[in-house]
Amino acid sequence: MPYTDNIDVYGALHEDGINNVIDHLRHKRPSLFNYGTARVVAGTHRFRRGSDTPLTHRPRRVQSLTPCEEIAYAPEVRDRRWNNPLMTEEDPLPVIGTDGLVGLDFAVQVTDMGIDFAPPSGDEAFKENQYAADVTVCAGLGCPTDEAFDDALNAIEQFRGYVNDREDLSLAEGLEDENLLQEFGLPVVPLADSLHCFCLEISVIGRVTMVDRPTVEGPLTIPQSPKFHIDDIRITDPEAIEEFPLPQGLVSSLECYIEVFLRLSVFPSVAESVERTVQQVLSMQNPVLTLAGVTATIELPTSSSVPHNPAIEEDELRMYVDIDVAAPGGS
Amino acid sequence: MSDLTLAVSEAGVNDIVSTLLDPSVARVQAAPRYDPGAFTVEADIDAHFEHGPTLIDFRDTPDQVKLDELDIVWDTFDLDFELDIPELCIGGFCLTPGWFGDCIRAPEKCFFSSDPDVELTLALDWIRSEVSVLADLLVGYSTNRTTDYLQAQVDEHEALEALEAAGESGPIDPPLVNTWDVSLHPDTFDIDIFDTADMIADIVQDLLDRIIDMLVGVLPDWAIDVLESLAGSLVRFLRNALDIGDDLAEWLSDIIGVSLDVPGIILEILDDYLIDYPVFRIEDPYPVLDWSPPLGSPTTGGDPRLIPVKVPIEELDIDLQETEVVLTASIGAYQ
Repeated sequence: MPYTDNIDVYGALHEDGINNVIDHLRHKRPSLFNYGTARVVAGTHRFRRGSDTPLTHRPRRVQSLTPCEEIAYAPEVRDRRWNNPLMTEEDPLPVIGTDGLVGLDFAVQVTDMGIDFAPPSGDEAFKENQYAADVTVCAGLGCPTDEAFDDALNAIEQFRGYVNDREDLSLAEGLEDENLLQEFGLPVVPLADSLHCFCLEISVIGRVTMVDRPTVEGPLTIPQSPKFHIDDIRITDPEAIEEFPLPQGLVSSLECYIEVFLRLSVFPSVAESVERTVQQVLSMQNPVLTLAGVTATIELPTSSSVPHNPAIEEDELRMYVDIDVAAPGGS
Repeated sequence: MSDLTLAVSEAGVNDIVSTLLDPSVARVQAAPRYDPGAFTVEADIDAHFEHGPTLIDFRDTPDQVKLDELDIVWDTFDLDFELDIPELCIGGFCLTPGWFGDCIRAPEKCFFSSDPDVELTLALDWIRSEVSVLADLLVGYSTNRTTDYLQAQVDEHEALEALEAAGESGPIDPPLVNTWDVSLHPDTFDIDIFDTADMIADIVQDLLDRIIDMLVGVLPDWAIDVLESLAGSLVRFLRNALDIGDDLAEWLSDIIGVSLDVPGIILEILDDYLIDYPVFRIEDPYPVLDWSPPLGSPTTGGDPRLIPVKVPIEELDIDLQETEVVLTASIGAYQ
């Protein structure tokens, strides 16, 4: 049966193709997938490329922390001409109750991500036309050494004592005075020997819809693109959960934080790259149409034979498109 | 299983091609000139395309695309003929020697002194022409840069930096990209300038009648007699001057088809839009993320410029069926 029964254009993306695109992104833009404080960013050199163990024969760089997992990257990323970062540098994680004067080193890394357009059919969690994405997230916190902890405590006490002694200075004003904070070595990030890391398998469930989006550069006007929505995120690492049973609230809170992290940070960047690529392919890099200045708009109709459009079927994301072409004069 | 499947229906392609051939988009406009000597012909042409509901016809075995009976409607098709007959002077010969070594000459009359002597415009805007093309749909790979990914990235970076140093901005021209191209390669062309061949003889006869009438109006009978004596007959003279053979239709057809190369002009227009030019093109590797910030834009502070993310298109195939064309492609894994 033809692909284009009753429609103009049919497009299908196999999950393997999307996963290949994600794999290229992971290797060439590792900073999209890896986040950490300055010390962790400085510690990324400790992995020899292709090895999952830190180098031991080099002197350890002062005030650097090894990330949780080796970062896979393409050789051109570290080429001296571009010297791209392996991690995105983040501010330290603030310690509650310290007025933001103390923070902790941390790393959050998405070490694996893959789309599955054929979720398990028996799983009730999945509804029709949903996709699944398996994500491995590793994270770790730099727990301070006793010595560093004491130093931080001293710095805070000295600062607070100084502010108390100054009748003309409130604590709020003191916290705003960067020069003053600097004099007391604040804010402080207590040194840790290493990150305390853990990894979790996360399952993301979602839908794909078409949304309005600014037209990409191309001969055809394509004002829409597919958008990957997240409906649910669950920790799916039974071994980890069974071995270390945690209160449900803690698991839920952890899931919540990971969901927010994926929704606001990693997922939009990765999904938008894929979505834009699909939109560009649909806009057809076609010199003929470019010459003619022809514009086209698309519609994704649904019918009894095509109840979902876009549709997730047989490991593919499928789109059934009606195309309306117009000459520059509008005829 | 391919990573990308893109199918376009024959009806969809016909919609797109109809738009491409809309008079506001595609016109045949030219002013070819043929100037072999005394005889000059110049055309002023402006035409648009018309066609039936199914112009593009997909053929499955073998995979071919037929552009079927595309009409060319000539909104303007003026053929301007100019004939510069060599000057002919009668008389002026020496009747008797004069006293001082000169001559007493007979009166002299010269003809055909103007340039050109005869001008005619033949309006052919009422005719229609027709084109049919049978073409193969082929996949090709164009290499405009090294296939080494890293070196290509270096080349692109350096080319942009060179442009910046020269005070210019991108993009790089020609672009440093390799492309998969799907192109139509014509197998057979059939261009019929005159949709109804029989009409041509009348046109030529009319042309000759008008030339003769003009000459008869200009020349006295005795001059016609002289011309006839010189050239045998006026018609034969004109035939010689215009290089008209026995078949008048063939002559005019040659003028339009060969000397002015109107079919070549039509083909050039079709080339620009449909033929022998990629109808689908995709860069390899395909850019998923551009340089950030883009090459040519400054970076902020000491931030590095993030390299682009491009994915290799390893295979690209085309399958033509009766009702649709199916393109499949594979995206290479990171290695």
